[in-house]
Amino acid sequence: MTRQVTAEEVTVSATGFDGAVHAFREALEPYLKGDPKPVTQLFSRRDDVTLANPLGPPRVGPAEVDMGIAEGASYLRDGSIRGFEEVCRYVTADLGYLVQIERTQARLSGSEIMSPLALRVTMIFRPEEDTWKIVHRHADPITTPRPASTAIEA
Amino acid sequence: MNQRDEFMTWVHTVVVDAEVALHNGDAAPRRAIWSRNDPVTVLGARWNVSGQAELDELFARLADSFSECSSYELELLEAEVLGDAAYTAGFEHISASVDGEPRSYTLRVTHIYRREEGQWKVAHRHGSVPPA
Repeated sequence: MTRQVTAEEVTVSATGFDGAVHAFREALEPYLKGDPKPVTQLFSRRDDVTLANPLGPPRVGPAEVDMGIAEGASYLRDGSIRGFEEVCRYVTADLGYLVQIERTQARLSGSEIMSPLALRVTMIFRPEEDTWKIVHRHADPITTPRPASTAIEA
Repeated sequence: MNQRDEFMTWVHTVVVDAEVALHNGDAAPRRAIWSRNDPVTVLGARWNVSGQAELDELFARLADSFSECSSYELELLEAEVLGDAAYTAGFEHISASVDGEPRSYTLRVTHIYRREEGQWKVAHRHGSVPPA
């Protein structure tokens, strides 16, 4: 049986969740420059954490997710955020999710060209101890999934 | 049966049945399990929508395009119930006719659900073609 959630709990949840979303968007800047650590720290360390990105099979568990994030960052340098198009966000006391288009740019490995990138993203967060962590991220290019170089916008 | 088991049973029966019906050209069972409250969103394999009106239009368009579903399998990597919300992440393996052409394909799928008046409803779907 579910327990009744108070309005205060939802308000506190929203503040923590909104902060976690903001923290992720901030962490994308170093990620686009090849540093995976800030993004990695925002993901849950529990066994059910999952990452489905455009670069390969889904990753399950913190070790696999860490490798997936590091792999993605290894293809990127000198990058920056161009903007976020938020489709929706929704939060309860126990789960928050964000649906957005992430528009970024970076030099992809082996290239001097600054390439625009665009991903459709679903991210699920949950409260853990005194913070909110990412428990699932599903990202794919606007068209068809391809290697990192093919997330480039047409 | 605990609440996660109940949720999983619902996913593997009601949700799967609705997807099979959609891929046989009938959108009504899928529409019935989706929330009537906003936000509702789809990042689909072909189209993106947000809101009730766009959802209705999308499901009708999809039902018109699908027929002769010979196989639908939901392969889950993770599923969690977190209070009055839940999510599933995994794959759909589908054989159906799309615009009259028989196809077999796999999609990566994330679903997010809300419990509304004691019933689970789908609130978000993200479906994408897996990387090669």
